[in-house]
Amino acid sequence: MKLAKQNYPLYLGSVLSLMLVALAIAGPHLAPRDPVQVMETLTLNGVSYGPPPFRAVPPFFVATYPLGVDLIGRDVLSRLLWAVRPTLILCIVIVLVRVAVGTLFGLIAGWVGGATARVIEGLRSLCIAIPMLAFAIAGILWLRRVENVGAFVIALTLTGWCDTAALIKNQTQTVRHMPYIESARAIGLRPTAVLWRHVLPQFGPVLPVLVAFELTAVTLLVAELGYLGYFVGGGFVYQDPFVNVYVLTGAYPELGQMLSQVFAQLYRTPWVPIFAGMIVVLQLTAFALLGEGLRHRLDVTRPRAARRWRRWSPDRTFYS
Amino acid sequence: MLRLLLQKVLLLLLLLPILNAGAFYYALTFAPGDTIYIRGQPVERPAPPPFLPLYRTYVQRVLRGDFGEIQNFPVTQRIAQPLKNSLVLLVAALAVATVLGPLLGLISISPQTNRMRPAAQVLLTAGSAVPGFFLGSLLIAFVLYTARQAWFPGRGPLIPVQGFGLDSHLILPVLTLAVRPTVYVAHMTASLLENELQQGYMQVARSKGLRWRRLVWHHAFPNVISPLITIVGQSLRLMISGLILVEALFDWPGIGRLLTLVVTNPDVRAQGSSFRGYFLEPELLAMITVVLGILLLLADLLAAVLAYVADPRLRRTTHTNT
Repeated sequence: MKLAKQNYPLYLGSVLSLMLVALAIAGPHLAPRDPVQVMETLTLNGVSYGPPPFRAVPPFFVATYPLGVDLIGRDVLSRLLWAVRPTLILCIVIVLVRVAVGTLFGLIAGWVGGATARVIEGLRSLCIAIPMLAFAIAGILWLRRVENVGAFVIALTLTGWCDTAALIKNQTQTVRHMPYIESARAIGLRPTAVLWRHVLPQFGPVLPVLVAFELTAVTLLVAELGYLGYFVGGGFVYQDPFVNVYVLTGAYPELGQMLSQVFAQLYRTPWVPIFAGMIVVLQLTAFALLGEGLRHRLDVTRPRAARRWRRWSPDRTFYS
Repeated sequence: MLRLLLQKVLLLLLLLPILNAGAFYYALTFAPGDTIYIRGQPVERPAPPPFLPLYRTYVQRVLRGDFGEIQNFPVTQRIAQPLKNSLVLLVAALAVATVLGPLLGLISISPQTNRMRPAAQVLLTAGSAVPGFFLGSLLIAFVLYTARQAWFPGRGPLIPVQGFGLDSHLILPVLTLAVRPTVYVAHMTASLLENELQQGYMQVARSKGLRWRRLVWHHAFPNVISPLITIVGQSLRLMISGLILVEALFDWPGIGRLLTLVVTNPDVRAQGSSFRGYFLEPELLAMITVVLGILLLLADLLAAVLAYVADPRLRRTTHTNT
């Protein structure tokens, strides 16, 4: 069985993820124009382009609007560059909260066992029994009173902690019966101290993979929610003062917002969801590859090609 | 085996009333957060009706067998047809995922198909990175583009892009629904098989000179089939969650679309019709949630039972702690 010599998924995934993070940090500085400014009308070869009801500028057509304009005439390139940051931050926050809550519940279920574990298993089954997207929509609608980003985070976390909890619970159960835990308890460490010093560090290898795959799942959910019309950042109705044009659209540039209203944009500016979708695909590819590469790297049961041993490893010096 | 079944059925029966009550409560007390202005005037919102008395009467009616009526149609009748339509999609997508998934996974790691391996791996990565609805929208846009540019003059769109039908209307929705679960199953098959094919007994079998096909199908696959059934069950749950999106995109009258109609405010509904009749009807929402919950938990149950049946190793040790 031929083994891959280099861990391509890891390299490619980390390069893409770093690129995304760089885009999130430096994007707004690179944007050529203001992302919320509606374009002025311009005329090319006798045809007028501009905000509705004029025609929209298609991509690769005019040098000043390289990727065209969106539904009401804002530059797509600037919006894309600005939009990566809030989406990425949202995804990272949601993943961190999910993993934290899942780890907490998994630790409790695995450590205490018995009735508490059964209750948590029941909660997990409840979370499995509700389709995640439906619950996310219901939760976001319910919590819109509170705050937009908070609503997203809470709605996506309430049913999303299941996978992490299951994994952590299994690991905790395996570790709980180890001799060193018993000796730690015997010398008088409190359970919380045992958990903090001996059990939690064991999840180190598994956590990066988990986080990478959770990032994939959450990015997908955020994109789907954006497609269905639920995105962070307000919406407003664009009105043209002279012609009877009312367009409901989002204000703050965000990837979910650009993906939404596909059918409304299909005949006027079909390239906007396509470009936003490509960025989402890039994000998903980056995280999926990263997760895959990390899984390859951190899996100790895979046969590896022989590596050069370090010169000063302990057993070599012992036997030399 | 019986104990596992009993546990899961009991859990199902325990969770369904909770889901029912939760959905009922949500439907009764939901109030949109922002003030909605229609033609400049803020909309006056009435106080939500009290939950417990209404729920008690609902439960009494349910125990008599009457699940409520909505617009003079019984709720059960209103849900039956969309449920059947959704099941058509789900069964088709499940068939695709169950057949194509393990095949794709096998192709991507088998040494017999070394030339295909980079292509298969790229396909796997791309498949898990493309959101289903994005692929669906691209396909719709592409089909409409070919129709508009009249690549095939006189024929219009080659494949129907939206709407319900048991013929070629099925192609695009099933494709969109099945892409991610297939790729997920393929990934998992690939990693499981890779793990299996490195075991000691496989080395013995290979040194005996057995052919590749026998090695895989007779020796490695039976060990992999039990986790694989669990994974197919998980992918079925993924598919049920994805139904909402696919039905919204392709205008498929199924239970996901019904759920969207019930839950989203018709004034600001992004996609879909402006039909206002079902918004926040408590009995309808409660019934839909229960039906979806049954589907999901049944998928879980079926996967657990089939995995138990398929793998004798699981029958030796009994379930001690959940």
